Amino acid sequence: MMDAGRHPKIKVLAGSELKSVSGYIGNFTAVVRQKARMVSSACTSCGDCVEVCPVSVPDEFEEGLGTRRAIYKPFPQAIPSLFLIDPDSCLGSNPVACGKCKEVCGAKAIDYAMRDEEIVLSVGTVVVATGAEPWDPTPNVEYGYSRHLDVLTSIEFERMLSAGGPTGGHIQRPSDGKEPRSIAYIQCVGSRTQDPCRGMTYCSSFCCMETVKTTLQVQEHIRGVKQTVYYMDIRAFGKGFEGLYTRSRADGVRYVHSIPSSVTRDAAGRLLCRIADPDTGELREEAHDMVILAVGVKPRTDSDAIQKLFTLSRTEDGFFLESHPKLKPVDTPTGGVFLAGFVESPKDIKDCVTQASAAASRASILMRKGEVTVEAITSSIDPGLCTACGQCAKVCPFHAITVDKEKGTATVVEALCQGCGTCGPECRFDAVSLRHFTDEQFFNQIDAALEEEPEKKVLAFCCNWCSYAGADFAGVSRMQYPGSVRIIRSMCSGRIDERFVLYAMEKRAGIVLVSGCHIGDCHYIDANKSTLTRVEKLQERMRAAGLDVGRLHRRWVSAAEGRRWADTIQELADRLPSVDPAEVSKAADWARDQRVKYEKRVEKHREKRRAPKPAMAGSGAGGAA
Amino acid sequence: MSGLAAKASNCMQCNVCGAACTAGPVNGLRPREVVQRAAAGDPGLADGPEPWKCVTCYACASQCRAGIDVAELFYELRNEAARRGRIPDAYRAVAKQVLASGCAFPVTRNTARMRQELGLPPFAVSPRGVEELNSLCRAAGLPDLDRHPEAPVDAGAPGKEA
Amino acid sequence: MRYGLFYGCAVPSRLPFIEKATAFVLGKLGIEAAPIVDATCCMDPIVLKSLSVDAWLASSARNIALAQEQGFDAVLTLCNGCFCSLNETAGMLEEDKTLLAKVDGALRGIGRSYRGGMTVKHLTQVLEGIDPSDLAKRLVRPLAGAKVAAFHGCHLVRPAKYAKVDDPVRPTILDRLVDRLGGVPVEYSERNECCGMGFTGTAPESAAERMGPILRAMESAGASFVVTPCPSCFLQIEGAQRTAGLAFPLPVLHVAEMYARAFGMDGKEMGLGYHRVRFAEEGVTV
Repeated sequence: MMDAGRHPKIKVLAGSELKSVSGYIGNFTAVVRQKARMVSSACTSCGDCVEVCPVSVPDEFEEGLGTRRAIYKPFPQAIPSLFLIDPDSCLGSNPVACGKCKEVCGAKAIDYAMRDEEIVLSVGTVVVATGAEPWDPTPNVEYGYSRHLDVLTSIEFERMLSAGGPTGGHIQRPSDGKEPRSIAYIQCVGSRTQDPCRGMTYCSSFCCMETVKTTLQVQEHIRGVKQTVYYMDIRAFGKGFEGLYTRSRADGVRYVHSIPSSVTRDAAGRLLCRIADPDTGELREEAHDMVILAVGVKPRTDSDAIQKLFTLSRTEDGFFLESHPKLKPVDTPTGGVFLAGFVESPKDIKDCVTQASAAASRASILMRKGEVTVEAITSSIDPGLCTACGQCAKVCPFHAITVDKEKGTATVVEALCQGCGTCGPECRFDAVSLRHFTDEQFFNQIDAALEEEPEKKVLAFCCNWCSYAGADFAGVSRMQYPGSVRIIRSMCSGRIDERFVLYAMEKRAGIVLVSGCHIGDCHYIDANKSTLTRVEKLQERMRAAGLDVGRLHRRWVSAAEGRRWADTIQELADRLPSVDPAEVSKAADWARDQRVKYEKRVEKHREKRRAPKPAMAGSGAGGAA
Repeated sequence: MSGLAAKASNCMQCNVCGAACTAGPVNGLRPREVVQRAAAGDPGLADGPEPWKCVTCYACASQCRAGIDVAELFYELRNEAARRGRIPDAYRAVAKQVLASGCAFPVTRNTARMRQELGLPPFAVSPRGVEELNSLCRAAGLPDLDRHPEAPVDAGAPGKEA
Repeated sequence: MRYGLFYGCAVPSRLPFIEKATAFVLGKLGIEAAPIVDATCCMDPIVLKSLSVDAWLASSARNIALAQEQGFDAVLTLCNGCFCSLNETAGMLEEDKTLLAKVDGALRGIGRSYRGGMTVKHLTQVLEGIDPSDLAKRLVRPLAGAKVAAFHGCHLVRPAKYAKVDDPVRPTILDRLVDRLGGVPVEYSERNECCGMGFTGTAPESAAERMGPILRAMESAGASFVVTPCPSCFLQIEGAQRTAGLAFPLPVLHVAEMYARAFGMDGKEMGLGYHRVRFAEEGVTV
């Protein structure tokens, strides 16, 4: 940390908050608010001020086990190595009130009038490493964290074990200051539970090894101490971890495969952990001097704000989603923004360092090159047809479309556009097109797919990342499913315009399937939510027109779900024989009417704008009339 | 496999159910063992004494990390046993009482007097209520309370612990 | 809000004084409530549900249907068992419309119907909802520092999925109610145990024994009386006194009685004399 602080090319803005970010890869503008320290850089870090400060408040760094003054250094290795004043607890400069630190400061560094500053930064890339929060075990009432002084969290206990910590590295029972003879650890507090009040469903992954390490440390601190670890699974999966676990057991630490149901205090002040014997199931209470709750972590409470700043996606757990779980583990869907550490998922120090190095490397590749090659698949908007209604911008997951109401046009920032094509189906005037996935290409593919016996076909629109890959997986796994399916690939299911579905109906497709990634898994943040609403809307319209909605389906199939894909196609193909030709004709007529209406509207609009009709090759929608 | 048994296979063997169980110390009930046997599809589980040892305090289910409705699993097993006529005598008696009077605890002579002295009206479930209750229970398939199993039902008397 | 009062069977036929205290408390609070006509047993969550979940559900739903038919806005119970049965039934029918249709079909067979949407409350929830200023106005006999052991029982807070009254593992709602009347809720180790009623069906000897350690823990915590929201727990607490080996018997009040006293109801009128463990007027600092 000190090295980073001293590095000529690294600027550390401590006590700062990111207010806003605009721009795109290579061209970000970040507005940062730097909190007033009330101590200038003239501070020599001598510490005279601390001695005279009369205020004493719980020390956040010491997890409240120690105290600090109103003028303080957050922790010994903090950068910059300057003191700062906590305005909430400082009595103020009014001489009547206090002002003692200012009087004693030889360097004249204290300035109560200092105000927050706003700094504007131009940056090319961003690494988000905002971390996570430890689980607060207060709601796990059965363990009495808020009732018994001698129940500590693992983080608090870490501070107690630190030589620089509040007790100088001595292990003491908070209730009486005595050295404990018996310490219990309860694993998985706040992790691996289905009860949202009591924690998270996932494994926080670092707590097992943290406990194993702590038991070894404690073993060195207190001769003959008894230690018991209550666990459900010990996950010692990393390099050298199993050896450490074995050492801890060899050192006499008791590992008990049973999670206590409660911690109570007996008359003598000892803590009783109530467990069922792992072998006999017999219930018993085991007495300990201290109980350490191995707490997990949860995503930061301000994750929403961070997510919005950088238009990131999050997993179901609330952690930020990487671009690809295996191949792009530190990239995000937003170009030029990378992830490192707990913000992506809970992990241990080594993995944090590895990931941080990877993120820095990924960022420096871009920085070094100075320019970026973007994917050729991007959207473009015809200014001649655009009315600046802004519908496309609303659904763009990457905020890549800027709408200029005055000029009356919307434009795509191509460096931001990721090519999902969700914008296209929103446009009422056919102004948006996606390169390499144009309307015309889709219409041609539909024509080809339904050339023969269309009533006996399932026409499937699949997104590239999940459903198409799922179908591929079904294929390479040699799963059998009917050959009556015809697949048309798009980058994202959000590209599937209702006109494509209608055209397929017009062309008498037996059944139409729109398939994409599961909600939350979309490779374009949440573009598939548009898919969902569009298909539902179209089904609603079909219902209103008295048509059979059983001919239009929407299914989510992920890349790993080959079986699901095969089953889906089997199910839909099984329905084909029962599709009524009269119904198909009725729907085809209706779909044709819809298309004609659309074309007339666009044509009228085009004439109004006097925009030249783009040259169209092949049959496409026009040729179908 | 029933829905609950399928869910039982989510068990992570953390044993917190056993530590929370209020019946275990008295009659040796081991909820984890029952969950395990249910997950394994043990066909003899419902006919054994375990299902009837539960006191339905739901302490296990409230702390289950895997979100398994352990108490509901016990109900499911009891229902299964009851369908085969395996009902402990005390349960049979209370159920008969309820069907006869509409009440699990009917008024005694003593409490009838107490009500009178307190100035409360006499208490009894109306005949209409009792009749409706009986036809509902019949329609919903309450097992025949007069059907007895060949072997007596072992309801897990105390002392099993030792 | 007009409540359909569901007395169940243990209160009116074993502990009728609770019924009287409840009427007094509701009257003082100006809460509109009347008994549900033609109601039966709640359908015992232990016995009936054990024999047939379907029969239990249908007949429990009948009681809720009656409340709806008789124009009540919600059902109010005085017993953990009744609360558990009725509230779980209402909850299950609310989240599963297919089940609701099935149960409604069964009810139609006896000329009743339930269309869903009713809520079930336990008296403790209503008492917790009293506005502090309203409470202060009505409080004529505060607990004045009396040490009270709050015994919640099981079915007030569990199954957690439906109860949602308080934390299912370590509830403190009764402690809060004691505190609001000026009493001191005591902390004792056996607070989450079963009262033993659940054993009566299969092991009556254990049923009686269960309460002993709980009472002793309450005694050593210095409690002068016990408060419970449940008539079954009430019966168990009273019944176990002789065998528990206490220095002095530990009286028990239902939460309705504790509030009736605090709101000034006379002990004689309340029927305190019918308690098996006498709640002596002067014996307890109240």
